[in-house]
Amino acid sequence: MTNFIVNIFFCMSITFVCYLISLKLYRKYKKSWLNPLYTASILLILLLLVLPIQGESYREGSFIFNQLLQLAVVSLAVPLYKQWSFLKKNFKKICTGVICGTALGLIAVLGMSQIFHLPEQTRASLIPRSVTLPIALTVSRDLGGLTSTTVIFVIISALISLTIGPKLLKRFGVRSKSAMGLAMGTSAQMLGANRSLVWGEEEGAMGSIAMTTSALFLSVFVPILAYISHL
Amino acid sequence: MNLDMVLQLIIIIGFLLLGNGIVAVFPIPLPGSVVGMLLLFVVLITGILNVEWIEKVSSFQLKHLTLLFIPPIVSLFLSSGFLEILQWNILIILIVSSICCLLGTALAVEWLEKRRGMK
Repeated sequence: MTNFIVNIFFCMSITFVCYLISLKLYRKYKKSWLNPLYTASILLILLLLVLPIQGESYREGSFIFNQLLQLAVVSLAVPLYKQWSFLKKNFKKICTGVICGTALGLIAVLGMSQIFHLPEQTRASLIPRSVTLPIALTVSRDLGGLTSTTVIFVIISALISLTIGPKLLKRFGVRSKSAMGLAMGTSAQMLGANRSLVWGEEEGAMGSIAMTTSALFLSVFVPILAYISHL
Repeated sequence: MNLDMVLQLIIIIGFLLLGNGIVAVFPIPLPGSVVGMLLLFVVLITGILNVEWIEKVSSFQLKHLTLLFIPPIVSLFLSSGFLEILQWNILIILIVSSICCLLGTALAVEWLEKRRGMK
């Protein structure tokens, strides 16, 4: 038992230290590729490889961050509330954007897994790849996918969207604040919502609402789709 | 962290627990955290809870959200099944579908805005 507590404490402290170091670096040099998410992760992986700790025990010790993440999801109610009148005015825009984006992503996954002849289980794990993690897990389980695989897909695609998103949108001449926030929120969920908060309050609110709506949309739509395809 | 912050945190934890409880009792296909968020939102919008009571903690949490994503990413790269699952064709699917999702959303919204602007 004491071992367990020491382990948690240790995991938390090395994670905090890595985060603080990379935050300092980021604030000092102000380069977008120095995003603490990347630098801290790389730092931590290197540290764990050097130190005599098993990856397994780090994973056990870091469950506390999962709890904090759930709390952060609850906290998203605040930006949502602050921008509510603005969101109500843009209701149609939000729904159109989120539904188009999620549907296109879904079609891309279905079409390409057809082309590559992926097994049913892999496909089921891929379908919820663009929704926020807790919801993706539920959807994947319902479809008969592997949850651990889904976790990987969700995080990787969020990282991909986060990395290429801002440049891609610029490339295509997307300048509207709501379009940017919605796209990032739909595609990279929490990470995207957070990224769009950097652009501004309006983008940030759009990002968090896009995350929520896309999650709601997919969790309602996918079971129906599965039902239809089984007929 | 002062007493004010602790109280704010307790309110947010309360809503998370409430959300988890509701999901456990009723057959709702949503995670407890999302239900908690929706509940908190309803309480804020109806004016039962003043936003100032939880503003400090929530903005602090969202500012340092990145920190919370570091452990899952690290565990991901340390897990043994990682390379097995991630083959090139899956990586292509993930990249292409991310691009589709990003552009689909952004261009649909821009198209809608332009169309409205012309009227």
